[in-house]
Amino acid sequence: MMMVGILVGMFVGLVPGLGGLVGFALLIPFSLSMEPLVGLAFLLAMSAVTTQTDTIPAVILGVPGTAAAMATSLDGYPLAKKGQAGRALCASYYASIFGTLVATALFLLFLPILRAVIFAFGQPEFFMLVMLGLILAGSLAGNSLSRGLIMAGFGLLLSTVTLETSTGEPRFAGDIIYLWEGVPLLPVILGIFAIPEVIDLARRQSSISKTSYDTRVSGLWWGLRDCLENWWLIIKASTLGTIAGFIPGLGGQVAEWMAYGTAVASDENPKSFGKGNIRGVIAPEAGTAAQKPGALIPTITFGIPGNGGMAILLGVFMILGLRPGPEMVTTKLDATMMMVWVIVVANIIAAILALFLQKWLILLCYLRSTIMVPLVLGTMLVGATMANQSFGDVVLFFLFGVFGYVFKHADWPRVPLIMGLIMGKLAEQYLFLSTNLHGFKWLTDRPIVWVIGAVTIAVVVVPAIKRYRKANLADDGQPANQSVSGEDD
Amino acid sequence: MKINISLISRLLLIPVFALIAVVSWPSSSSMAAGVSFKGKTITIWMPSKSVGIRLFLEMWSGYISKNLPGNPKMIVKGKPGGGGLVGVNFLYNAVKPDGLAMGYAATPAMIGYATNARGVKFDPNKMSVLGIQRQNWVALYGKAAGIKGPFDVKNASGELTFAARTKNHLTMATTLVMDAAGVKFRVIEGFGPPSTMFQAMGSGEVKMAYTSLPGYVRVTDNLNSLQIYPFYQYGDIDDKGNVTRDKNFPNVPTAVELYEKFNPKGIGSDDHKAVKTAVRIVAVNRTFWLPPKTDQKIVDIWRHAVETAANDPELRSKYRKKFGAPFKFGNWKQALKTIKSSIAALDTPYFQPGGKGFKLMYRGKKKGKKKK
Repeated sequence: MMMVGILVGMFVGLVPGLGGLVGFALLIPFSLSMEPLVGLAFLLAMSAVTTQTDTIPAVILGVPGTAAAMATSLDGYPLAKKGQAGRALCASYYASIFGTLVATALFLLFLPILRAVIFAFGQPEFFMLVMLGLILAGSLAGNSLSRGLIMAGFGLLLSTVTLETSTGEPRFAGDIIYLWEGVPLLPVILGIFAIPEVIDLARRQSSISKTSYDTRVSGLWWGLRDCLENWWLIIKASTLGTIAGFIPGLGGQVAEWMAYGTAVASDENPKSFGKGNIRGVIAPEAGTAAQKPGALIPTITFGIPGNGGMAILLGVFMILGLRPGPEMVTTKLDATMMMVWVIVVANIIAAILALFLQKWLILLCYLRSTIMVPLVLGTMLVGATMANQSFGDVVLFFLFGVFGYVFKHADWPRVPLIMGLIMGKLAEQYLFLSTNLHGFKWLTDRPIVWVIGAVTIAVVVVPAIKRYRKANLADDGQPANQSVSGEDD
Repeated sequence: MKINISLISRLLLIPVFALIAVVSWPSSSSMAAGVSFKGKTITIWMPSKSVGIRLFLEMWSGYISKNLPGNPKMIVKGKPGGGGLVGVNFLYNAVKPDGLAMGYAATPAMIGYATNARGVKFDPNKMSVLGIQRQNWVALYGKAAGIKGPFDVKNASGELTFAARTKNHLTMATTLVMDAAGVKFRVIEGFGPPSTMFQAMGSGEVKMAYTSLPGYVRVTDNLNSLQIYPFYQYGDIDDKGNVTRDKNFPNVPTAVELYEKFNPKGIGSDDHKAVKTAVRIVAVNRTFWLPPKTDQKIVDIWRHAVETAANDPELRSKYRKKFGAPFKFGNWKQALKTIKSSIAALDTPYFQPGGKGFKLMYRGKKKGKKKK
């Protein structure tokens, strides 16, 4: 049954717009009649591998199938254009496997202090972490910090179109009920990324990859070598992913951007990111993969889901007979470990299956545009309308497609806009609760808030200082160090 | 001999058309004559994303199908949005009344109707109501409240903060009970699902919260380990309309009991009635219905199927095992009675704009235009 779960998970991850929610809708009815442990393995396996195959459209088409693959697409797609899609995909699979293994080790290490970690965080800390993720995305995606932050602000503004958090009154949505749940993410994300690529592909009248097809290069060993060479980056990214998973409500996006930020900050040539640096694929994949076992822990030990997917799983777990509680890491540790191992093994099996498919998937990069354009456009449109099945989805898909095309060619980063749209609701909720509960004292009385705040400021200020120092060196007649970050600002 | 192919073709067409007419006759008469759903697919529309509700509907639909003529295939589809309004508006206005679609309206949609909220495009009086699923809710307190039990609330340490998604009938009842006890109390709106409230209670950020009774039963051990305990239950409504303790939760007092204990002089007051009204609203929970103008014969068949399925001992046993609480179902007559009494209770000056109940249930200004 686990294999069925893996295959379904791979499929829904692969097709943009489907994702884990559709996977759950497909599998949950079947899981009801299963033995509890079999049902758990079945659903966990499906959920574990969706973020592994969602890398495929992100790398091959430049369209992140889910929000969790946005950082990967920044460097994965340029690699595909260089004819290194196989390398990028293989590296992402290996990074996912290593990420889950590191998370498992960290889980065992953190076991004695889990409770303290989970309950040390309150609404102000959650708010600061969300802002950190948003600012990381704004500052890292693209060549300009200011443009990144403006786009993140635009995303935040878009997220305010909804029913107001506390009153339930429509805000900027008027009587358009379609917008009451907020601007739907799928049509926006698929429109803003897919349509510009489709238009460019049609105009270019060539395949995605600009190099000739080389059947010898599947990337199997190349990707492995990349991962082994970057083992320390994987450990750092996985640790951040695991911690982001522990903290309830953060989700994969923050983990992904923290990991990506680590890769950029620790690289000798930060300017190479966004242009096809393999470390920009490895880090977010390891971080996102590590986040899953991390998020499982608060879900089953305290009944507090680590992310949206885990919230669904928790509901099913309880119906299958699993009762969350501290005994899940004491007397029932074996059941917990079984679940963690399901995630690890599912990732390994999915990676092996994906490697078999690799050769054919990469062929997509070499199909001529007359085939690819209708194929991609049709698939994306279906994906965009899958969740709501509303005409509004079609309108948003094309509207944001136009925006996406303009942004892409005017060099305004699109990723921070999506991050703002995703994180806006969370940021508003946590800010509202922080102020409502603590007044403005949450800014002065909470040490963890200061620490996260300091890191957030450093993300913005340190590159600026480096840039200033580099400019001074250049003025003194010394050659500028090309590897200093943020020099395009 | 010359064969007139055209004539033969026409002659052949006569029996073919006749056969088609005979075969299609039952369905073209809208199934009302010899109602059968054989070979049809029935859609159950849920105006929510909840996995728990989907699981319940998947489970129940199998039993409903057994009791519908022709044992149709049944599928569950989601139409979430607008706090449940999108799905209800959709089923009411856009789905053909041919007996092939059923749905439910949850409490917020019904309150929305009673208070003329924006976006409501349905009239419960015109729905073909099939039945009602009742559900009790429970208020909880955490260690940070510093009390030993519900009757000790006057000794609470400092202000009691109550985590909620938004102001609603549940927070209104709690506010009135706390007012009766003379306790400093504040509703903290903006939380997500109960698990987010439990996290905040575990970290000591808030002192109280609420959840559904089945939700509480499923995680009781975990909540005890986090030192989170039941404060009171909202309660059940008996056949005479009185608020009573849930038979499955007999040791926890109801909100009405607490109010009466803390403020005996307030019995019969508007506030006292408002606490009872809150319990009535809780009872509405999920109302199952078919689109308006559905043929009465089809409605009757559905009502019978839904009620028989809900009372199936096998389903009830399964439900209890999976969801940790009994399946509380009221037939269409009980459903209509509950809905009408709830809507009537809200149609008083206390709950209309400017009234105390309105202020306690809503934070917004635009909601609740004066009812015509």
